Amino acid sequence: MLTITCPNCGPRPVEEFRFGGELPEPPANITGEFERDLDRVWMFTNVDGVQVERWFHEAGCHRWHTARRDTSLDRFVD
Amino acid sequence: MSAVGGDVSTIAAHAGLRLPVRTHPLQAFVTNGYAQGLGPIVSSTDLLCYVSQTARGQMLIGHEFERESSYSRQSSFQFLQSCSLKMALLLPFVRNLKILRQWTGRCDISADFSPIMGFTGVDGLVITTGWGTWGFKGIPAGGEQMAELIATNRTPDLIAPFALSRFAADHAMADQGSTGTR
Repeated sequence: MLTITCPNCGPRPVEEFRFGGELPEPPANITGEFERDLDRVWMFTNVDGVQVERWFHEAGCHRWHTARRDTSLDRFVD
Repeated sequence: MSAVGGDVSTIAAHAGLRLPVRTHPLQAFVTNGYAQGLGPIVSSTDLLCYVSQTARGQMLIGHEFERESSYSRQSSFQFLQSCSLKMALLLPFVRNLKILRQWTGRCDISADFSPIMGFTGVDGLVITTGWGTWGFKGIPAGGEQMAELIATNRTPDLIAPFALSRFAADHAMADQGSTGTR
């Protein structure tokens, strides 16, 4: 992975971006209010596959965007 | 007991367990041989890199884990560039050495950078993970304590602060002794 396509700036070198981590998404089977908050703050799916995640274009337009990346190959997918 | 470095989230998911752990790649490289003389491991918490000399005289050099979580074992040229620059600042003589080979592994990084040891809340499943930062120093003691935990079915006092339940109890901590974090 050498470039990331920013929705505002187009394809740019990966060094310009900061990784914002996976988008927190507590699973539906966690129902308690405290348990959902705990999961959202601390727990990660950490999937070996396609992950929805946040990226910040730090050295460019200074905006966040959401992307899908296959973590087993470290490649972005549509 | 789950002690699977790198794939701990995948294994835990089989038991319906979610963990405060992300998997990050960690890269390292060795140089060609050099006269024996560097006894200790030299590491810098400012530059976030380390070097030690192997028994064959090669300099084993690495730096912090990659920022993007990933299961990929792809090695990169960017790593060689940034890591060798840092190491040339730390120990200038390594500029004259040649890079022999590089490799990449997976690290379990916990949400507070400290290891997680003990019971999980799932009956019969205990865990030891999150050693992906400076585990080589703490794991011998961690292994002994986990053996005691399994033999006696209670948490030894030494590893009680590292329980998985610390996140729910709002006692997350970056333990400097085991992680080297600041």
